[in-house]
Amino acid sequence: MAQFIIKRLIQSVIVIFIVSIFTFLLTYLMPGDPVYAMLGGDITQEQYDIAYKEMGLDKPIFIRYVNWCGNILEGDFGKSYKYRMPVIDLIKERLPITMYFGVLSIIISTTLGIILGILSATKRGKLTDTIITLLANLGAVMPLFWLAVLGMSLFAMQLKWLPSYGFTFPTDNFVTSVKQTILPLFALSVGAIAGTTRQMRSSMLEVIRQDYIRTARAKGVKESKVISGHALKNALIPIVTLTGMSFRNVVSGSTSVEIIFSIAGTGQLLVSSVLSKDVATTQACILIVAVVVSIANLIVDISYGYIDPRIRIQ
Amino acid sequence: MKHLLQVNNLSVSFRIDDSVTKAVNDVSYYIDQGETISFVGESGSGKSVSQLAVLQLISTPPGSIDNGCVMLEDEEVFKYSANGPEMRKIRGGKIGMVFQEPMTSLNPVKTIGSQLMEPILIHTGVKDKEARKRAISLLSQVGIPDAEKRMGDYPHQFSGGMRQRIMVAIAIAGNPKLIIADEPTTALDVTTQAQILELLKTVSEKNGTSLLIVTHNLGIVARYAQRIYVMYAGRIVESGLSRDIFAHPSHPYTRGLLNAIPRLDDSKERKLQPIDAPAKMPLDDGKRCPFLPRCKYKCDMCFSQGIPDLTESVENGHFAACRLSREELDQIDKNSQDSTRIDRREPLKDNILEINNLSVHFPIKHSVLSSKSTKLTAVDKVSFKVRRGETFGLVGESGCGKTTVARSIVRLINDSEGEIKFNNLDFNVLKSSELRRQRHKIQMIFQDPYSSLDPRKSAGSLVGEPLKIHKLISSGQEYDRRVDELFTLVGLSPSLKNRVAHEFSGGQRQRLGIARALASNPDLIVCDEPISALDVSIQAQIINLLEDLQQELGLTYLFIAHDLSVVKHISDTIAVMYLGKIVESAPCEELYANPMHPYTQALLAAVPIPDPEIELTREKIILPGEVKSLMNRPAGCCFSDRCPYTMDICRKQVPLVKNYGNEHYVACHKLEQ
Repeated sequence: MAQFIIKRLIQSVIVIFIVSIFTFLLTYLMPGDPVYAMLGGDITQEQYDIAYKEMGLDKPIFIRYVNWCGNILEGDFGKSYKYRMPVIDLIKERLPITMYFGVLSIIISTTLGIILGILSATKRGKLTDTIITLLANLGAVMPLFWLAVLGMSLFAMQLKWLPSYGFTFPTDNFVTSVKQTILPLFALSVGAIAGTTRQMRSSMLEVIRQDYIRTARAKGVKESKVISGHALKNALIPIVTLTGMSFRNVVSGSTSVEIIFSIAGTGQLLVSSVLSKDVATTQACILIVAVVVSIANLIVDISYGYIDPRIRIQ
Repeated sequence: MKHLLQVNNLSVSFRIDDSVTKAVNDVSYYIDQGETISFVGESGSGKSVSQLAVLQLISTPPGSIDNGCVMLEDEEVFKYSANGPEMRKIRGGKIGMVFQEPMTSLNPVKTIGSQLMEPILIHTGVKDKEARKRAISLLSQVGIPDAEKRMGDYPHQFSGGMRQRIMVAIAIAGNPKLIIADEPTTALDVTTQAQILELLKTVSEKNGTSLLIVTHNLGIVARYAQRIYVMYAGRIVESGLSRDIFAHPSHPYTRGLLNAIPRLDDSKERKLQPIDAPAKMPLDDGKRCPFLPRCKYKCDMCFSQGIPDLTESVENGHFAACRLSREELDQIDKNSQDSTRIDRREPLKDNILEINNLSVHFPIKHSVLSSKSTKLTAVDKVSFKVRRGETFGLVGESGCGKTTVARSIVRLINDSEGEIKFNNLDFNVLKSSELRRQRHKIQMIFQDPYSSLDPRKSAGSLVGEPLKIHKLISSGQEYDRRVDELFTLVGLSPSLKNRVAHEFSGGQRQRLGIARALASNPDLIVCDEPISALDVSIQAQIINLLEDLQQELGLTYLFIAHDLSVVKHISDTIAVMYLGKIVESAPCEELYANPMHPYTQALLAAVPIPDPEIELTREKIILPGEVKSLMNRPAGCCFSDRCPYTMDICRKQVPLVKNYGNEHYVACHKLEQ
């Protein structure tokens, strides 16, 4: 198992390394002068010369890359010219907000999805199954931004039960925070719940008709134990993949939801920095996503190994 | 006398979409304490479904138990709800089950220890520690070495035979009164099959348990069962004592089955008599005898009257569901004009194929990062000669390298070492353009007729493709004519040309495979287990077809199989392989009359003969252990770790192949002394 983890870890490092090269080159791939790219067009000649030196453009590209990496490892992502502050501070401010939604949404959608999926698979063909499948299909086809707008118009505009924008941490003001969280979280989670439910249902149905489930029943195992003790672990493998893939949203956030509810998270940050050619911020966002996705994949692989002993051996 | 299990009028049906299939139709049977009985039938006969229905293990929907009464001792089983506590007490507690596929019947993500402790905890009321102790003792009882250490291992760390032993341990863990073994050895090799069946027999004898074996293998039935139920299309068509049924089969289907299978003690001249099978089986309408469309004894009564009831014949307790009495069937058999002998052509003296020191290695990489790799030797210096016009049988258990040999001969495996001389041309040194010109002279028939035919091509183009590739036709007309000819040759109507593979039955697909192989007028056809995926009654058709084609076209076959009875029936010369080496080769009669290598002897002894009288007196050699993996082949003689006669020299030195007269070649140290 240790060897397995080390192998995967090395692979992740390679991926992050390659992404970092591309991210670094972003400055130079943008049309126009890299100094303008970093600082925007509004600068004097002296400022340009200083920046030119500071950015090390007089040095070879390899040295520049090493310096850039070194800075990042020290937590210095450069300065955002759009927000006029160090990128790291910007990230520190934005990331927790996005992660708050992302983590909550993953917890909710995975738990609910697994429970609903099992319920619908074990009651196959019954009313429960029909209702769950119908709702899941509905949830899967409804676009997230549309749900967000719909929820906002109903609960915020007409009924005035919930605020239509803003974000507060629960530690600051619990009641306001809960009220502000409900709508965006709902919009974020519906699709994921539906997806997980559908996946869980089909993989559970697949597992239930396997020979070893029949063996378990032939042993006299209780039906609830057959599901929880024998089928569940086998059926979870595709769910792990699915959840691993949605992990990216924990850091990159959902841009549309953040924009609709005016939540200052990284999703919004990434889009606005790309649009305004704020290279340093864009670079930071991309790198963070790359690192998180790599870590998520690593966790997914390790949990495969935990769930399925056959993978451990390979 | 009260029976342990009594099943009355059991009917089970499956509803898929809107059609209802009656899988089990009014079936009644019983089993007594300590008895061993067997259910025989081909796939789809309802023999397994009946057993699953008794335990209410059929998934509903689509299945449903329509009718029936099952008495287990004093309990009426169908009174209980399918997953209720009483039913669960019966499953595993009173009836233990062993399933067909050891590879998929154990949960891959749970340790075998926990899977084995489960029924002990459920049924015997002992606590964790005691259950563990019992599980370990059960494991050693079924012959798992290092039982205590292996409790924490997962199913994939065991071989198929070992997994089936674990299944047996699970089945007996709850101290059941009856063990139902559903095709327990179908997926296993011959020597492993013998081990598992002996194991089942010993544990059931020791605990006084009744044993119900479901199988399609009449040999197994003859060796182990006291009573038999023969099933066809969801009904029991014949039942009675094993010796009565084998001595005087009284239903046309039973007779058909017995005549269709080759036997180890057959004379080579006996022609197999397949049971006719119409392309599309009419559905059982519940009005006429279900066997009627395939029956060669049918008479007017069969058409005018309904389904015949099981009626008792001469002996006590021997029932058959046929309008005709045994004497009438005998009479028809006597009058029939079917030829029962095969005339075999004498093979010519010259060799069509000479294999000298053929070796095949597969590199195995240890990890992605290291470039080191070890060689796995799948075939190790194999040499043999095939005469023109003969059938050369290559026998061995799974993993012995017989398919690898076949594939390197047709050059589907490219980097083999040694000489493959075909018509005096060495295939291993030929240039690829020359090879392509020669290739149509060797063709191959594959094992699985379901996956070896492209599902999207029409049957006609599948068969005709080689004609185009090798440019054997000059015009479209000639192509059509040739394809029609090939269809007729293998007994298919040319009007089926436009159908696709899945519209054919298994036997018909294999005919297509044969037609495709014949298309390029080959001299040699390599048949890689061509019948092992087919039902018993269909196997005979294909064997007969191959034999007829050989007569007609003067073909040479390299026939690869694991079934020794089939190989004996069809081959002129036989070579036995073990772990990548040929350990013995000889002309067919010589080999079966006088097997010299200990492995051949054990293989032959492991094959049961479908005749209880013979089985009673036969000596049984049960080989210990399992076929080693190629990775850790024993040093010296590859069979030395399982051989009953192993000496010191066997473990050190590889025995050489020597001629012991009559073209009988054996590689064994014991014989040299």
